Amino acid sequence: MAGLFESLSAASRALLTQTSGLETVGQNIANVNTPGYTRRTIDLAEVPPAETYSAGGGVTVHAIQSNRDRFAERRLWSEQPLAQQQSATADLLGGVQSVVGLPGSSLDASLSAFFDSFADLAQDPTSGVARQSVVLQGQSLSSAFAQMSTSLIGVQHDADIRVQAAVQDISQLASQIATYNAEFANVGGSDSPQGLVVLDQLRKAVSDLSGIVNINVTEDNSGQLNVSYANGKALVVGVTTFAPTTAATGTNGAANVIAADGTDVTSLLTGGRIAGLINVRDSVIPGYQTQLDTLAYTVVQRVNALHSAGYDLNGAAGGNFFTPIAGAAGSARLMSVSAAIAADYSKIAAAGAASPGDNQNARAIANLSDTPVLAGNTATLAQGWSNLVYQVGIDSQNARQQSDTHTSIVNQINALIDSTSGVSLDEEATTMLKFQHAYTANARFFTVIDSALQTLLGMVQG
Amino acid sequence: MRITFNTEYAGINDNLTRVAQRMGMFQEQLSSGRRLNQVDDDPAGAAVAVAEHGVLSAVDRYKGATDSTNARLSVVDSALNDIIAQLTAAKTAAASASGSVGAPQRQAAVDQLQGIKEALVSDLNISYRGTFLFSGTKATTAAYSITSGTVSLYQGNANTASIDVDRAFSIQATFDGQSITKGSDASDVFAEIDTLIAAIQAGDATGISAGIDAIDRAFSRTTQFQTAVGTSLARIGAQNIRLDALKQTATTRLSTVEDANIAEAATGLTAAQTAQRAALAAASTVNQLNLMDFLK
Repeated sequence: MAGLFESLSAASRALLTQTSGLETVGQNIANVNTPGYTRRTIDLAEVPPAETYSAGGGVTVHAIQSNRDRFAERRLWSEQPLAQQQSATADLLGGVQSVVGLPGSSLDASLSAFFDSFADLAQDPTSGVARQSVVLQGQSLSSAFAQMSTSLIGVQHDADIRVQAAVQDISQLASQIATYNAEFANVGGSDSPQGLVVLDQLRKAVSDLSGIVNINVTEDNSGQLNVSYANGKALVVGVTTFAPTTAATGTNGAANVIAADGTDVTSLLTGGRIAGLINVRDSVIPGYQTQLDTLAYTVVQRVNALHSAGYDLNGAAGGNFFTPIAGAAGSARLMSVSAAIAADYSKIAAAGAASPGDNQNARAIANLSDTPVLAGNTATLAQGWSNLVYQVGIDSQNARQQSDTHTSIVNQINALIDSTSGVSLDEEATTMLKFQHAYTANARFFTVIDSALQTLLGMVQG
Repeated sequence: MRITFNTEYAGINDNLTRVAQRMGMFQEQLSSGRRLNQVDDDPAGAAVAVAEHGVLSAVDRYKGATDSTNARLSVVDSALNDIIAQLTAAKTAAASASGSVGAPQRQAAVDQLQGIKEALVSDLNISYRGTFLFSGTKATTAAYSITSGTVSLYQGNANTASIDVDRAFSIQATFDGQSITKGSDASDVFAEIDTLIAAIQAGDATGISAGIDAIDRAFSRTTQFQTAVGTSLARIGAQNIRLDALKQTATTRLSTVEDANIAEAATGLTAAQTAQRAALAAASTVNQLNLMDFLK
C-alpha cells in the first residue's frame, strides 16, 4: 500500500509531466512558421505501482515525438525536381522571348525592310537614295541578326552562371546533410529531442536539395540519410560528402558539372533546377541559335549568289553583297554588308544586264522574300522566322504550364505534409488547456496530500 | 485532413498570386490593346501574326510600286498624247504643202515640221525622277539628242525594265523609244520628217505622199503603244483595288490574332478584381479568431 510520501512523489511527477506537455505546446507555437519544423507531441505513460495494493505511481513522459509523413516527404522529393526544372526553364525562356520580340517589330520587320529596299531600288535603279537605303537596310538586317544572336548568347551565359550557382548550392546542401547526419548520430538519433531537431534540419536540407537536382535518398539503420544522384552516383554517404564541382569544359567554355570522382555528370542530371538550366543552355538555345544562323546564312548565300550574277551601276559584274561566310554556324553573329558595297553604293548590282536602268537583279533579290529558300526550298525566310517564333513560344508556354502543374502538385504535397507535421494553433490551444487543467488538478492533489501530511505531522507533534 | 496555420496561409498566398496574375494579364491587354504581348501568349497566333505582317509588308511594297508605276505611266501616257498630237500636226502640215502651193506655204510647212521634230524629241526624252522613260534600260541617257535641227540616232537600247506590282505580276516601266519612232521601218520618224521636208522643199508630191505614209505608220505605232500603256494603267487601277482588299483582309486577320477583345478583357478584369476582393476578405478572416482569443 502506497504511503502519503509516494502520493506526494506521484503528484510531483505529474506536475512535471504536465509542465512538459505545456512546454511541448509552447515549442510548437513558437515554431509555427519555422520551415521544416515538424509538430511535436508528447507521449505520456502511467508509472506502474511499486507494490501490490497501490494504484500506481502517477504519470511520466514516455517520449516526445515529431509527427512526420515519410511517404509524403518522399513524394515531395520526387516531385520538386520536375517543378523546379520547368520553373527554371520558363524563367530562362522568358528572357529568350524578350530577345525574339513580337511579330512585325522584330527580325521579320528587318527582313521585310531589307527586301523592300531592293524593291524600291528596282523602281529606280539609278537612284542614289534608293541605293543608300539598300546599304543601310542591309546593315540594319546584319545588326538585327547579330544583336539577336548576341542576346541569345547572353541568355546562355546567364544560364551558365545559374548552373555554377546551383552546383555551389548542391555542394553546400550536401555538406549540410553530412553534418546533420553526424550530429544525428551524436545526439542519439530520433530517440532524443535534440535528434528530432537535427532530423528536421536534415530532411529540410534534403528537400531543398531535391529542388535543385533529382536525387535518390536512402535511410540507413541509424536514421542517417544517404543521397545519390538519380543515376546512382553518390553525393552524401553518411558523414562523407562527394561534392560536385564545375569545369569550363562545355561548349564555348560553359561550366560542366563534375562529380567528386572526376566524372562529367552534366548530361546525367535530368531533373531539378540545374537540369532545366543545363537543358536550356546546352540544347534549347543552341537549337534556336542554329535556326537563326541557318536563316542568316541562307540570306547571305542567296543574296550573294544573285548579286554576284548582276551588274552594278557602272556596268561592272556585281560582287558579294554580304561578306561571305564559310558555314552556317555563327552566321547570325558574323553577317555584315561587304566593305566594298558599304563604301560605294554604286557597286550594288541592281541590273541583270550591264545597263544602269536595268532592274532585273534588284527585282530578283526583292522577290527572294517570297521565294522558298529554306528547308529544301520548301519555306520562305519569313516562314523560317515564323517557325523559330513558334518554337520559342510553344517551348515557353509548355514550360510555364508544366511549371504551374508541378508547382500545384508540390503545393498539394506540402499541404499533405503540413496536415501531419504542421502546427495548428487551435489544436495547440486545446492541448494547452488540457495540460493546464491537468496541471491545476495535480497541483490541487498535491495540496491535498500536503494537507494530509500536515495533519499527520500535527498528530505526531501533538 | 488537418488544416494548419501554414496550410491556410500557403493556400491564400497561392490563390492571391493566381488572381493577381489574371488581373495583370487583363490589365496588360487593356492598356496595350493587344492580346499578344509575348509570343507564349499564343505561339500559333504569333506564327500567324508573322505571316500576316509579311503579307501587309508585301502589300505596302506592291502599293508603293503601283503608285510609282502609275505615276510613271501617266507621264508616258501624257508624252504619247503629245506625240500623237505632233504627228497629227505633221500630217496636216505635210498635206498643206502638197499640190500646187506657193513657196511661202511650203516654207511654213517646213518650219512647222522642224518644230514638230524638236517637240517629238522633247516628248521622247521625257524622264521620271531622273530616269529617261524611252531609252530602254539606258536610264541615264536621253533617247535622242538634237543638234542644229538634226536628230541623232536612237541612243537608248531595246531592253526594257519592269516593276513588280504583285507576285508574278509586273508592269513595264521603261520603253524602247525606237519601237515608236522606227518600228519595222527602214528609218526612224525623224529621218522620215527630214525626207518629207526635202520633198516639200522640192515640191515632190510623191515624196510628200510617202512622208505622210511614214508619219501615218509612226502614228499607228504610237496609238498601239498608248493602248498598251492604257491597258497597263487600267491593270494598275485594278491591282490597287485588289491590294486594298488584300490589306484589309490581312489587317482583319492580324487583328484577330493580335488585338485584345476589349469587352472580354474588361469583363475578365472585373471578374478578377471581384475574385481578388473575395480572396483578400477571406484572407483577412483566416485565424482572425482562434481558441487562443478565448483563453483568459
